[in-house]
Amino acid sequence: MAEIAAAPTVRIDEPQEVGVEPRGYWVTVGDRLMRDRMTVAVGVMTILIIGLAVFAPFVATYDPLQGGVLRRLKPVGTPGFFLGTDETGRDIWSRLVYGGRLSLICGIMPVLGATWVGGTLGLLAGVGGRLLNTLIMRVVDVFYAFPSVLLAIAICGVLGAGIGNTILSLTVVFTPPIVRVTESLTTQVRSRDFVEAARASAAPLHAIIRQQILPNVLGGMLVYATSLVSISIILSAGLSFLGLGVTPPNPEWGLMLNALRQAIFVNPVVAALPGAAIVITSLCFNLLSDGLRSAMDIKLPS
Amino acid sequence: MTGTAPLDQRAIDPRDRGGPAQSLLLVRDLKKHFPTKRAHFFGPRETVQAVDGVSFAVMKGTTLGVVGESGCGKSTTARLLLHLIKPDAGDIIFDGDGVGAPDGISVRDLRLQMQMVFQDSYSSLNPRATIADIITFGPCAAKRSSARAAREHADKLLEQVGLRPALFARRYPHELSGGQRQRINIARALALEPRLLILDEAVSALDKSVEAQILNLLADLRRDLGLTYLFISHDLNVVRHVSDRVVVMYLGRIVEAGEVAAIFRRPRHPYTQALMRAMPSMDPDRRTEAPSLTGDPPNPINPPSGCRFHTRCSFAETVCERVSPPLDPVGGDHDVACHMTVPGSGHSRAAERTAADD
Amino acid sequence: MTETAAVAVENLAVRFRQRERTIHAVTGVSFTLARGEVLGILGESGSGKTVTLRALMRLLPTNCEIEGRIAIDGEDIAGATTSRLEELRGGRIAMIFQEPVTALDPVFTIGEQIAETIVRHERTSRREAQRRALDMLERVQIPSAKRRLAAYPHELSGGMRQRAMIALALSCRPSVLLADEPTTALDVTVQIQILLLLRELQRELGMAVIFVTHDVGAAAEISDRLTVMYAGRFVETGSAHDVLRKRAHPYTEGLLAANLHGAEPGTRLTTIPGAPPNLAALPPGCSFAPRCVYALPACTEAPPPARSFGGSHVARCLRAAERLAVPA
Repeated sequence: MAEIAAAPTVRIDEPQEVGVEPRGYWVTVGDRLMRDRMTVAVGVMTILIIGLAVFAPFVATYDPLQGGVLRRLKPVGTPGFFLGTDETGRDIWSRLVYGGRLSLICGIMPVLGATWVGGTLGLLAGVGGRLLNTLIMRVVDVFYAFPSVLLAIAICGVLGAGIGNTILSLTVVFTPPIVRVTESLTTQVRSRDFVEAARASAAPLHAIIRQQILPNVLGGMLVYATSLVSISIILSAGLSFLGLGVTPPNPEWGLMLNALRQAIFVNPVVAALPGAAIVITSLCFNLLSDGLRSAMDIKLPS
Repeated sequence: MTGTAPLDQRAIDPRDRGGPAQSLLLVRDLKKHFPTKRAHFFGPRETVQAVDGVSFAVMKGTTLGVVGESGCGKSTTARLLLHLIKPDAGDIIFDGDGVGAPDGISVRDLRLQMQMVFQDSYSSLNPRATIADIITFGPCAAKRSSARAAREHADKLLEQVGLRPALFARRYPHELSGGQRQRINIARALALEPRLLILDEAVSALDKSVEAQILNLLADLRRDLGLTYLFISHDLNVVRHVSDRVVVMYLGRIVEAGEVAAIFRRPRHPYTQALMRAMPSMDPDRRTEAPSLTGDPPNPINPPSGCRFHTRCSFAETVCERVSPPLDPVGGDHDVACHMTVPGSGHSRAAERTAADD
Repeated sequence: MTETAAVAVENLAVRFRQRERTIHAVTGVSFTLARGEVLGILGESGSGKTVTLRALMRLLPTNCEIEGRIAIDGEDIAGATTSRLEELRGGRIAMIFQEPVTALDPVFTIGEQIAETIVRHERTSRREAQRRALDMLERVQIPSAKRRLAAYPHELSGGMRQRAMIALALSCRPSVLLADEPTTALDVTVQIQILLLLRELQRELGMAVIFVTHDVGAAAEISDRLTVMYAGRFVETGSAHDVLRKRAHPYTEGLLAANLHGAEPGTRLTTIPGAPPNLAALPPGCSFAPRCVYALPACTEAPPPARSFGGSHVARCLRAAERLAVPA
């Protein structure tokens, strides 16, 4: 009989790709985002818009509040006022970049606030007992009964106009959907085996929520919240349009749209510019949110 | 995996309370019924009788195998033991102390001495945590270990389960194979230094060659750490290989229990016999010709009356439908719940059996 | 043998191209399957057995490359058009899966699903299709078949769902049945029922069956011929008897030795050291050499050719002959 070679001393369970750095989930998501050309393009656009808004004093060509009756409603391409002027002679471009600040604040702040409040409520509803869950979710349902636009109008109508009230009313409008999404995610995550294992380890509830449940819920919440930013921009513009949001003479896009309404037969392009700004910004956030969702939907090997 | 050195020769765990003769885990008449949704508003609410009066004991340093098919209640029993689900009735006694009893131990203290290894599903490990985080979570959160002490302990555990800490501590679950993930599951369970480990289908999802590696590992750990195992599986071969004693469950009840060799050599309950005959033959020249049982395991909602197996049993008679047989000894360490083994039960074969046994 | 083989595969290779690497899921697979024969493919996870099966029906994602010849009943599959493939799938070739939940549509009753398949492939009337659906359900031994025609998949138990899926697959009398671990997720008492049912139906309908599994017992019960797959290759092929008894390839030997069936309770189990190779970076020689107890330097140079050991028993191993003490 031929002799058998000595048993190789193979170390059991060496991972096959030694030298490949362990990659966390968010690193992988970031990597996938970078590869998606559409998302990168939209991302650049968004950064540009935010940049223009932040650096408005350096980018604007004129004082946004300074008008002149003689240069009312100049068309696009007028030397010095390359996007034209509005109904009181103020430079549209300068008002757009300054207005970007207000619109972005009204877009992002309410979503941040709603995520904070709604996320906490949703988590509590998800991990709490049936009583707590019923309490929170049914209250949320009541708010759901109102269409978001009407709710925003109602709250602003009661509180009065102004940027603070706008942010507050939009926060209230966005909290219920975030509570729902978070509660749903939390309930799903809670039933998974590793959470049961954490419970079995006699760990206190807050540690389980913080280290096991929250990291797995955060991703879904992030996607949803990002998609709300685009809606928030539109809603805040709408509120200003109706006179319930930012007050004149502040250069807010919705307000500009309202003011330029009469000019639509005189200079339609200029009248449409604030609307274009709203659409473009909102679309950018929307597409970013979509890209984020795709990037996070990693089919990890089983 | 079977008990080797006599217990009195091994170092006794400082947490030991009653000595080697006292069972580490004693379960008495455990019950759990789940209510289901009503069919309509005024209709009766049905219950799933998942676990219906289960009693057994696990002696220190041994392995108790729990075998049964889907719906038998073995996984529910595991969760009841750890109080992940609250039992409806019954006692759980750990080393002489009743769990939840005023003079016994709390659920929290129980969990520091009894842990569970889950089946390798993708979600048995937190996908957003590193391996080190997963293993240190228990000690840090439950026992308030310092991060460094927990980390050192985790590294030691990784070595014990056969993984190099330098390579694995910072990895994520999705980067590992099934066998590696199962080793992490075991390390996580051992992090809290338990005395009893419940293994709930711990090797069922693994390839056979990996299963062999993990079973060897479990045997080594039991010997080195002086552990006691409760091994739950649907696979008779695995249960026979690892257990000292075995319990067979059907529809929430125990139908047969006893020493593993006795049960496998001569199963007395018709269900156990059917289970063993249903194992596929390894010999292509001598194939199985007929299935041992027809139909599917029944639904635990509204189980059959009397002996729950009577609807599929080839020996069923009227008494089986009316009276539920108790779990009675039939000689040595071997208990069976079947009218055929009880003289005078009313079953036509009962008298025969007694005569043959004597 | 002048009769056309039911399945003829020659040098099948399947590669998945990803950004940084190529995964060689299947390499150099060749086999023929006669009508009425059952071929078992035994392998662990990652061996490529499911990919092989899906390649036969061209059910693989678009980012993979398939090479080699595939013929079903003499008809070329590798180059077939999409419409021809749709005609063949369900009609000439059928597949059953591990989880019936994924194969059965939850919003249609099983009677409707079976009838629809029959109408689509054989263009019979609706009533005729329903009659045949009932007949199929009875054939797979579903009790109260008439009532179950109107049942939705979620209303059936696991074993019955599996039978319903088999009924669906066999409704158009395919000549080839591909079975992807159909009994793995079932309880042991149900598993043996389904295995026996498949055997019986296979004999009755004279189908060629390819049965993929990681369970040696299931493979032994159902296969006429058996092949063992490792790292994308068929490492040993032969009659079920030959492969399971003689175990020419060291991997087969290791796999069967790790099996608990014959092991003495309480003893240490023989294991195969190490882990399967990375399919994106296969070693140059025999893929099993790094873990093989019998490995020689020659084994790492080139993949061993298939050597025959009498009859149809072949193995890809340089040392198999001397291990079996058979003149090569």
